[in-house]
Amino acid sequence: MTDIRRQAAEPTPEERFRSLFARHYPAVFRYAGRRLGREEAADAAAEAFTVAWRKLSHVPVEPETLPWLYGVARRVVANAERGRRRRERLAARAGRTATETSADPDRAGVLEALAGLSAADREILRLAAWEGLDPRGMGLVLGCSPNAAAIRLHRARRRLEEAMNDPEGQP
Amino acid sequence: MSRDPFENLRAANPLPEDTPVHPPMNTADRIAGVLPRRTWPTWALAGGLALVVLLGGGAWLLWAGGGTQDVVATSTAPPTTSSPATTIVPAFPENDAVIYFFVEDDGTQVVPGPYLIPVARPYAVLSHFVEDPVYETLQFLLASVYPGEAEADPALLSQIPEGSQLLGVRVADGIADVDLSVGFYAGGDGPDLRRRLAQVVLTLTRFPEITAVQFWRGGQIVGFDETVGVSYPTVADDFADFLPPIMIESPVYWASGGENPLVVTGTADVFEGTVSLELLAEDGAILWEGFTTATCGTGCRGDFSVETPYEVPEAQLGTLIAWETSMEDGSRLYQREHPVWLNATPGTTTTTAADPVAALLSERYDLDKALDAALEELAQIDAQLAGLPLDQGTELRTRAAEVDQYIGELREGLGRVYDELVALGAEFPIPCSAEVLGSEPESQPDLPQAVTDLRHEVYEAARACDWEALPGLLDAGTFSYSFGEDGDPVGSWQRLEFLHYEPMLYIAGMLIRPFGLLPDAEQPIFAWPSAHAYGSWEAVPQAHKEALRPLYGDLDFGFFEEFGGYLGYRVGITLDGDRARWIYAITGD
Repeated sequence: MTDIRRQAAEPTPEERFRSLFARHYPAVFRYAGRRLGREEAADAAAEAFTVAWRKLSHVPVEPETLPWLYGVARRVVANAERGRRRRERLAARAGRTATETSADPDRAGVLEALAGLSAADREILRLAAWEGLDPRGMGLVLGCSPNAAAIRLHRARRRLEEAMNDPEGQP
Repeated sequence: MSRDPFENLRAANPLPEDTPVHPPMNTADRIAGVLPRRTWPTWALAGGLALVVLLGGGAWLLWAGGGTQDVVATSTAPPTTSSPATTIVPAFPENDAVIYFFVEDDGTQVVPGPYLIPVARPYAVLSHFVEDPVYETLQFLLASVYPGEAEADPALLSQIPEGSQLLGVRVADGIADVDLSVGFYAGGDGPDLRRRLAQVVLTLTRFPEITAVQFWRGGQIVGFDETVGVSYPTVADDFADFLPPIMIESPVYWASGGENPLVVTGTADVFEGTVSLELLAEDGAILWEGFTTATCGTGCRGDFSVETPYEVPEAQLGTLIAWETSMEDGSRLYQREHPVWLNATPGTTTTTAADPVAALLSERYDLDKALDAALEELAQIDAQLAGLPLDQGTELRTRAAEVDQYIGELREGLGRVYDELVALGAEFPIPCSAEVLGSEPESQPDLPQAVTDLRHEVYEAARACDWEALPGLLDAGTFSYSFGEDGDPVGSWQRLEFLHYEPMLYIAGMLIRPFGLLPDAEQPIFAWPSAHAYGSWEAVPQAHKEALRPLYGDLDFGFFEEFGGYLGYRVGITLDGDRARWIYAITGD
């Protein structure tokens, strides 16, 4: 006879993982989609959760679970972006250029300014603006203290503002 | 600009929180239940990648629905790949797909072919779930052989014309209705077409629910004339002449099942039905040898089945060999060799995981995290030590030495992981330390134009870790990249990146610092950073020293002072007439 209460009290690794997946898949998908586009987001999210399954014993308890998953997804996204840059370089060599336009000038301007910042600045700005993380969460993702994350964000915001005010960047 | 840029950034979120996201069905089960436990050998990973590349632009990826084995056939409508009529839970099947290719002969040139052999294709290489294994298996078949299989010995061949498309498939009452594009049937004579049909029929009749195949061409039922020599509907026995004297049906070519004991089944038409077999480890050691007797022999084809237990300490690719022993001289006749994946035997090892690549990547992940943390701690200690006289901060210096030693150990571990991954031929990402740099180096107007151009190219390639471009930029004949080493600088840099030494950050980072002209050189050598061009550290102007930050800090400056000169990373470009040549990027000392 199945002891349901016992099962509930002691979830198997598979049950833990399914629960983790159900709770956080949408957030991890969005994280990847914001950086790679929807088309590549599913693959990146699946890869991040594959790492989570393999490292299940390392996954921290809530509320640190999602920042930890973001940290994993960050590596996955970085690898995917690297591959994409190579493809874009090939396309550029072949005489093709990728252009992205936006009807909203504010949106276009800020995304252009964001693209001109360093990878570290871009990531901390996105974590704050898009994932809505506080310094503690950002620190968990980036592997630094909340203080360091707050300082990094402050500097990145300043650089974003400078980039926006750069006459070169003005439409 | 009406708002704070950060608020604009918030508003520019490409996927706001309220964007609906629906997890693909069974992804969690697939990850937790199948993928980590599968034992994909490296060839399977490489093959999967190759498949994705092969099919990347293929129309079959546009497939949206998939047929179903449960749809009842109607009398006139062609098979369709529209949405299934019954509910089927998509998943990755436990077993590989099996498709049939030809080999030209029996591998010993004794028996002329071609012969059909079953070949495994792991479903896990697909980027989508498998709703219909029959459909996916046919797609694998139409995708033809993987790169390398056509060059193997014996070579695998497909007789199916390139570009043939599956228009639909359904299975009912033991018959598979297969609608293929006109291209599948075009060209070639009767025997050619017969071989194509054989590949499809053998592949499909391996499914237990399929006993015969009805072919369709663009929605029309196809009948074959006598030159093709097949029945209607077509069955596997129509192609008995394509079977080798010893046919191993399982494990199939490239099988990744890894069961133990390995159950070998097949059919044979050999003298007295006696089939000899041996199972070899990767290094050629015999793991099992023996023989079995088919249910029929000497002029008729019989079935055989034999269990071959084995013990191996770690997962590896072994070889299964079957043959008939000649009654005349004991030589091997009709030999067949199959590469098969062997799983580690419990009890014979304590540390090796079933999938060596996955285990190494997992180990790398742990080492990466630990190394990141240790490097961060060391950087913090260095920052605290900066400016402190040498007789102060003893505890911090002791801790720094400990952390430094730990970092060395972690890098040693990462180096081993890297070397093993390379030895396994695995695909794995290499970090790019220089991507934090800007896209354009500031101009250095005093440089000759040729040197300027080459500096820009090297900077861009290093910044992007463009491993394909870098070899073409360095002067292969004279290039020096580390003391006392020769060989492959790019391979060395990849390894260093993997070990977090960040060579690309340093190479690109040097090129955006002031340059100097090396004295006493036969040809002008432009060196970055300028500190390298000075005879002593003392002679380096303070502004040029400061330009080395943040790549180097006070502690490093102390070492340079103690040594008497700059001994950090450096990049050199020489001017040979009008031609600039990149002659060194010293990163190893």
